Amino acid sequence: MAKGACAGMGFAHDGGATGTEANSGMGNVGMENGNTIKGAPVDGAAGAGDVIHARIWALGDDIDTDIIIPTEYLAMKTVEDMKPYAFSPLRPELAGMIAPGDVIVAGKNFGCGSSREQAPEIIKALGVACVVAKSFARIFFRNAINNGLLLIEQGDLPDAVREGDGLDIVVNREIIYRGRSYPIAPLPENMLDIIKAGGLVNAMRRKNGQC
Amino acid sequence: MGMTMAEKIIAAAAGVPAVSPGEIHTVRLDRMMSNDGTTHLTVDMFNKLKHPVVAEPGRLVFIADHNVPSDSAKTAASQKKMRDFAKLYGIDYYEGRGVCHQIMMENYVCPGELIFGADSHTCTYGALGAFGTGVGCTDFLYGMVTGKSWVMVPESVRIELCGRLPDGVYARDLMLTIIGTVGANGCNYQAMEFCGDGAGALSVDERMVLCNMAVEAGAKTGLFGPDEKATEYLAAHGRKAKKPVFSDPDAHYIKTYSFDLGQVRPVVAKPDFVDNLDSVDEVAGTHIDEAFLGSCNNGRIDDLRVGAEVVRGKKVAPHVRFLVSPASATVYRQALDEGLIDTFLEAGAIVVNSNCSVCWGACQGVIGENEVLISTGTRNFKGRAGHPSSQVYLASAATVAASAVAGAIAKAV
Repeated sequence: MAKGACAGMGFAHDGGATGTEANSGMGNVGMENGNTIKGAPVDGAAGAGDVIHARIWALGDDIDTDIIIPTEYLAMKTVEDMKPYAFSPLRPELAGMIAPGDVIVAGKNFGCGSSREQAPEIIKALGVACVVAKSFARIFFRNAINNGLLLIEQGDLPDAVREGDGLDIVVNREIIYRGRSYPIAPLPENMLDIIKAGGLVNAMRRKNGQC
Repeated sequence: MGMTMAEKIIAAAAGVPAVSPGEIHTVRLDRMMSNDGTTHLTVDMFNKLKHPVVAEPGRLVFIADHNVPSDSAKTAASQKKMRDFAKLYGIDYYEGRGVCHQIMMENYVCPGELIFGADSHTCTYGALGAFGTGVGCTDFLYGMVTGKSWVMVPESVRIELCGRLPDGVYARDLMLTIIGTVGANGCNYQAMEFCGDGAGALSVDERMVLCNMAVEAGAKTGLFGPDEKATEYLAAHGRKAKKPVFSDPDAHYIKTYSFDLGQVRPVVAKPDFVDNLDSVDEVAGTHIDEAFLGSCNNGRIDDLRVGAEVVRGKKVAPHVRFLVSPASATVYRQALDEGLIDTFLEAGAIVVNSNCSVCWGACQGVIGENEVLISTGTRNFKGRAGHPSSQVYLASAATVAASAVAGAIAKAV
């Protein structure tokens, strides 16, 4: 099988960024100076240079949207109601164990499948500070940014991590795990603004009051 | 350098002479579709806006197809929200008329259009040479309010098809083979363009099978050049190709895959991944509890004809539920006229209304603990059709029907 790389996705908008390309182009957009956040939801906390200390939950390749939130729970009224069932086909206990500020580290093609926006919403509602994966499916990537969920593409870290360990994410710069630095592709500033605002609708509202 | 179809359609929607992969453009959306999977969420967000406006209601289509008819008070409430909104703003609305993509193809899609749908299988519209792509409800909201959105121009991948499929092998087998070859994220973000004499020989219905599952290879869309077969399809549905777009001979493709259609064999995608490909022969004899013929991928008249032929004069195995859901009311009526529904009922199938049905995993035919489903649906993810321990095999209409009769996975003879 020819599992292709995500060639030509140098810009980090739609479908994940190919780390090296986006890195070389953008540099560090550093807007804020190294705030340290622990155990806090990501809203308003994903400025470049911010440091997120977090506990790792490790997942594999192809974590699809039906695993993130199975169809049978989508009729529930709110994402808060759905939250306990996140990842239940794979690991029913996981949603109850994830604490605010934790991060998920996964393999390739995270979020493949349906366009259901409840998928990133629920991950955010669990308080997950960030999802790090080898690659993301494109619809999920757009949906995550639009809902203010920080995603980081990193090709090497997922194979190195052990669940339960801690890591440090320096937003838009690097991930530090067991003393080793893993470079990350910076998100463009406007994308970070959307994440900081808690999603696209909030960002538009802040920007021009027209939404 | 020339442009691919995908690039030309985006350039036209952006109002610029040319675009290149990787560029981001603001585009005017020719059409937008949303279904009852998420429309209620869009409406909720819309109602919280300071200045809620719908830019161009005439470009919107709402289709209830996921939980139809409603199966609970909760889904009834979310559908009411959608129905009321459509009425208030004069948005075309369908309910119980079939799966959204089938309705869009029968009534709206035109070559050269850029269409956003709040459903991942919106890429189906490439069968008529339109750039259809799936988005979430926030992107949909933004498009609904402004009439516009942004897209990054994808690289195009050329899928060269040559020759003809052998008897007993279908477009469904071909697309599962393609996905099994390129991988479930093999075309992530890219546009899959189907070319070659083998592509030209496929009917629009068969092209829909391929384009529909482009997203299962991670693609942003799948496309066929809108040739005379597309023109005939449009004419048969009372439409004309207003602005057909074809790739230039010197357009750039990041990669080319070639498939000899004569070599394709009946295949299945085994649990729990669409690219987990195997031949039907290898898994023949695997016990099944349920079989499903339907969905936006494989519930059209050709598929029903194939399935009916396989079960004609036979009986569904006693321990198997065989559900059949024609992809639209139009397909349903044609199947009635041709006697196919009679054939299915005679064989012991459960023929249900036109909707997403078993493929969506919530409304009809949900499978239980450790049960096995063989399906013409779009996905076989873990728990997709019911209990997390259940398993889904994806196969052609012929294989599904033969398996329903045999009570185990079987090749149609």
